[in-house]
Order: sequence, then structure tokens, then C-alpha cells
Amino acid sequence: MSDAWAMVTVFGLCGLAFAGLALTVGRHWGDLVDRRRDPPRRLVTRLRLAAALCLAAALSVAVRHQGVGFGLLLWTLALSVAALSVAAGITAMSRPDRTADPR
Amino acid sequence: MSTKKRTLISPALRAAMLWPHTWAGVTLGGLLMLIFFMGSLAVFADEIDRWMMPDTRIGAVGAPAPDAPFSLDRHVLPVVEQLAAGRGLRDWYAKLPDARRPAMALRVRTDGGVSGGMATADGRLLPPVGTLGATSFFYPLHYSLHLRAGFVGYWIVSFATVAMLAGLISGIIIHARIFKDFFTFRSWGQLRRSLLDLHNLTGVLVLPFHLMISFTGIVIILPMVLPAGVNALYDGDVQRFYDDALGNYSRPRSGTPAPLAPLDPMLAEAKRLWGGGEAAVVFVINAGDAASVVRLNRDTGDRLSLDVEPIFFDGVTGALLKHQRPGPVVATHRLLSGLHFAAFDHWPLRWLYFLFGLSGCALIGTGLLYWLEKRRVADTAVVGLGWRSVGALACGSITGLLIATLAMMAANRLLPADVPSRELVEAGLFFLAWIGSAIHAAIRTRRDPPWAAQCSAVAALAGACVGLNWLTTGEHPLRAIALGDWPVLGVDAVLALTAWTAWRVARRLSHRQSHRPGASALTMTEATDHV
Amino acid sequence: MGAKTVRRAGTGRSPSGGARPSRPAWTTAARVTAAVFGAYGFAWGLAAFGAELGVLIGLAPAEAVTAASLLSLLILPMTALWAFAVPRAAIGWAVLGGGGIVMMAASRLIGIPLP
Repeated sequence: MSDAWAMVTVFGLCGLAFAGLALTVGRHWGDLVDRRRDPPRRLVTRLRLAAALCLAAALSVAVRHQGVGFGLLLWTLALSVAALSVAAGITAMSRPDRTADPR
Repeated sequence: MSTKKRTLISPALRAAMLWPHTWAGVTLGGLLMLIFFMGSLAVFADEIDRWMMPDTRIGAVGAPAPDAPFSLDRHVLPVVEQLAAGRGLRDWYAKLPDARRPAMALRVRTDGGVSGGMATADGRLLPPVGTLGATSFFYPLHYSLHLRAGFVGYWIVSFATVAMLAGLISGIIIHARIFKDFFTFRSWGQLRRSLLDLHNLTGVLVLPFHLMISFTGIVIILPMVLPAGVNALYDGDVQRFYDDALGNYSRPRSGTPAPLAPLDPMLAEAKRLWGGGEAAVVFVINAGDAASVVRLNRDTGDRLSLDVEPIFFDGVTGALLKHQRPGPVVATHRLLSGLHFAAFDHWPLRWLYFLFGLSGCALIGTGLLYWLEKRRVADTAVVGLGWRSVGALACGSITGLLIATLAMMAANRLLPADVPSRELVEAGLFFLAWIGSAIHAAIRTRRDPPWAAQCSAVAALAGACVGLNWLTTGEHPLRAIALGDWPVLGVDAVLALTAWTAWRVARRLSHRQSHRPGASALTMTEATDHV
Repeated sequence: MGAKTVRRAGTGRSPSGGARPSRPAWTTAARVTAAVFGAYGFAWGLAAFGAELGVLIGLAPAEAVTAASLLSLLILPMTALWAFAVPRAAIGWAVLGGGGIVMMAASRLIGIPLP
């Protein structure tokens, strides 16, 4: 069972990190949060910091649980999975029929 | 984007990279699609083998008991004798049973030719499987295109793979707004933009995997396709280089007959030398000869590296001949090869390799479709021969490849067991179906390749495969669950998913065709995401 | 793909803007061949020369061959792309082809006997 939990933790932390990073991108911030303003500078810095911490934590869980070789490989591939999932989520949430702004 | 970035990648460099990126993709896209698709299938080669060889499934041979005493002398040697059938034995090897292949696979070279077969862990020879399966058909197609003479296939695949690497690098250079578009996929609006978004997304987000898999793919056969170093230092003798680098051992036949020493003590000694770990393959070279050599390979399921730590024994005396560990650079080479092979026992990684391999198909497919869409906009009036060729090529390498694969799997369940050279008939049907769908695509591509028709064919074939497996083996999903036969269940599930997706795509395409011609290729790429 | 389609890409509505407005077929051919054969020749030379050099600095032959080959494979796609990036195709051919020949000759000169 702890195997499964480690997987969930690694993928979840990577997903959180990329979700945070996605909010620092002007286009997605506009679609998802506030169309009129750019994301505040301080928030961007904090989100980036949080994302870096999440990625580091995910790496440490992966390496601790799977060993250096498997851990690194799993973490690298988890990055892609997480980023793709975040992209899919953003696509689903910012479709023009939802945000009423065909761009 | 900072000014520093701008100086690093100048607009001129970007413009210069576009031409090779585009034309390498258009000319080699179909071939790369084949390589990536078959590579993805190869990740689950053992599981597809079980599906295609019902006699080797868990339900037929029983699960291998981990603590049952397994003996090379009592369980493997009699099967080898049976396969040799009295002819003079020259060499043989046996891949020992494991969790993914509950039966052992043997290959025997005699004075009267080569024969192979599979046997249960307790040494009962199984009836001929009558198929090449995934390990001997889909997988070699991935790396050699079945063109073994003069390693032509290896050269072609390596060339395409270098082009893939160049395509990835040039793609990153061309992509002007990597970070702004990092997560962007606009599935709505212009089809052209959606395709480019998807192309960028699969290219950028899965870049680590694509770079790794393309690079390590060539690394495995590097001494064959770049033998410069071997020529310089080993006078072009690749065999000698491998003996030196990987610790292999070879010696010629002496001609003096001599009996084989017991194998089990050698197996025990090998396990001791490995410091734990299981044997995966046993080879006997120059069998029955005074110069016979026994080779044991270690199972690499517990490690990334493909270092099989071969151990060589004298076949007559049983004395240790060679056990040489590779140096650090060769160990790196083995690690890189292992990263590509994914022979490790790790199910999450196996699924990720499979899915990311398919994402490579999506990357190449969206690239081809984007080229088509862009050209369509550029030349509204005329759809030239070039455009139609690329359209047919894209169709033949996306849906055509699926049709061929599924046709072979359906034929595998339909052909009676007593058809002469059954495995070759199956392989022939694969190529026939492929050529057939390519011709269909070439004839029917006017304003659009015949996506809807071919998607319907994919759906019908994939659905038929699931049904045929049930009808011919009696192993429906519930029974597979009861037996714990996850390989068959998994293959059936992916087939069913393929059928469902292809059917939905086909329906949507034919529905849309009346409203917006050509607006549907996007969903095609979604289809390639599921096998 | 025939030469016809290749030329169409060069002379037609080229997306490369003003960077290279029109390219005669032979320049394109020179670049493509430089990228395919020139880059491979360069990689060949580097792998041969690197292997000899590796043995000179004390690596085991198998290690030297593997290290040099891996390095060559690493630079192969980059040199192939570089053949398209240089201002003139001739420079690409000169550097890749010339470099390859020089390194091959150098490896012959070192000529370490068989281990």
C-alpha cells in the first residue's frame, strides 16, 4: 500500500507544482482568475517558490522510495504527466463556452 | 522574453531551423510513426504474446510457483532433446520462465536447422504457438523493420532516429514562446492552431522522454551503426569488441565429442557470483563438444541497467571461464541501453513508457496533420499531388498502421492451428492489410484522407479482436479476473478502449464532414492517443 | 519526396521570411547532403580519433571506443542541424567534411595496434 501512496504523493506534488506555475502564466491567470489584471508580482514569486519546493519534495519522495535510479526516472516522467494533466485541466476550464471569450 | 534569450536564438537561426524540421518530419514522419508505435507495443510485448499464444497463458500452464524447485538438468534439458529430435545439437538457449512469461522459450540450432518452442516450468513441451507474436514480430519491426540482411533495417531506423533527435532540437529552437505556451492547448477555434498547440504540447512537455528514448535507442546498436571506434581499435571486429566490452566469451568448436556437465551447480555458482538475483537465460554453445561453453545471463528486473552480468562456464568440466564486470563507460552504455529497453520490473514505469511512446506518435501525427492543414490554407484552390501524397502517407501511417496491427491480431485468433507456416501467414496479413489501407488512403484522398472510413475499420477490428479472444479461448474478462490473468485482461481492455474511441471518432467525423470539411483531423490525433 | 516538392518549399511562400528568400535546388541539396553525410563523416572521425586518443590517455580500448562513440552520437544531431544554420552551405561542408577527414587521418596516424 505504501507503494501506491508514494506514487500518489509524487504525482500529486508534481501536479500541484505545475498548477502553481500555470497560474503565473498571463494567459491562464487571465482565463482562470482575473482577466483585467496581470498576476501580482509577489504572488508570482511565491507561486514559483512553492512550485520549486513541491518539485523538490516530489523528487525526494521518489528517490527515497524507489532508489536513485528508479526515483529520478519516475520523477522525470511524472513531471511530464503532471504538466500534461495541468494543460488538460486548463483546456477544460478555459473553453470559450465557459469563459465566454473566444480568443 | 528577455533580450538575452533573443540573442541566444536569433530569428535567423529560428528561420533556418524551420526547413529541416518541416521536411525531416514530412519525409520521415510515417517511418517514425511506425517506430514509435511498435516501440510502444514492445513495452507490453510479453502481455501481447500471452494474448496471441493462448497455450502459454496462466490459465493453461499455471502460475509459476516461486518456491518450486526448478532444475536446468531435469526441466530444461529434456525439452532441448525433444526439440532436437535426434539431430546433432549445435547450440541452444532457453529463456527461463518468469512472472510475465510463465512458460520458458527455447531455441535450438541443430545440424538439420533451427527449431523453437515453449515449455512449462516443469518441462512439458507445449504445442507450437503458430505465431511470431509481439516479441518476434512487432518488436523486431520496431528496431530492424525485419530487414536484417546487412543490418539495412538498423541503419534506416537509426537514420530516422537521428532525424527525430534533430527534429526535437530544432523544434525547441523554432518554438518562440515555450514558456508562454507551456500549458496551452486551445481545442476550440481554428483546427490549424489546435493541431499546433497539441504538437507543441506533446513536444515540449514530454521532451525529456522523447530525447531520452531517441538517444538511447541508437546507443544500443551504436557499435553497429557507428563502427568508427571499433574499426580503429579492433580492426572492425565487432565480436571481439563485444567480448572485451561486455565480458562475452567465445571459442570455436573443437570437433571432439564430450558430454555436458550438470548445469544446476553452474546455476548455483552463478547466483553466488551475482550476489543474489535470478538467472534469465541459459545458453549452451558448441553443445556436446569438448569446447562447449555455458553462458548464464542475470535477470535485470531489479535494476535500470541492462547489464546482464554474463557468466561463462566450461561445458565439460563446469569450471568458471569468465565473469568480467564492465568498466565505468561501458556500464554507462548499459545503463542508457537499459533506460530504453525498460526490462525492469516496474509497472507504473512500464505504463508511462507505453503512454509516452504513444505521445511520440501523437507528436509526429500532429506534425504531419499541421503541415497538411497549413498547406491547405496556403493553396486553397489546388490540392496538388504532393499534398495528396502526404495526406495518404499520414493516413496510412496513423489509421493504416492500426488496421494492420489489429488485422494481424484478429487473424491470430481466426486462423486454424494447422495452417501451414501459420506465423508467416499472419505476418503476411499484417503487410497486406497495411498495403491495402495505404492504397485505400491514396485512392480516396481528395480534399481529405479517408479518416472516417479507416476509423470505422479500426473500431470494427478492435472490437472483433475482443470478441474473438472470448469465442476462441473462452477467456472473457470475468474469467480473466477470476484467473488473475492480468496480461490478457489488459490487452482486451486496451483493445476495447481503442474500439470505443475509434468508433466515436468515426461517428464525429462523418457527422462533421457535412458541416465543416476537414475540421475533424484533430480528433484523429486523439484517437492515436489510445493505441 | 522528389526534388520538385523540395524546391517548392524553398521558392514558394516560404515561412522563413526574408532570411533566405529563394534557394536554388543545388544549395538545398548541398545543405541536405552536408547534414546527412557531412555530419556522419564528422561523427565517424570524432569516434575514431576519440577512441585512439582515449587509449593514449590510458583508457581501456573498449572504454575508449564507447566513450568516443557516445560523444559522437551526442553531437551528431547538432552538427546536422548546424549544416542548415551556417550562412553558406560550403562552410558547412568544409567544416564537417574537412573536420571528419582530418580526424580520420589523425586517428590513422596515431594507429594504435590491436590490443
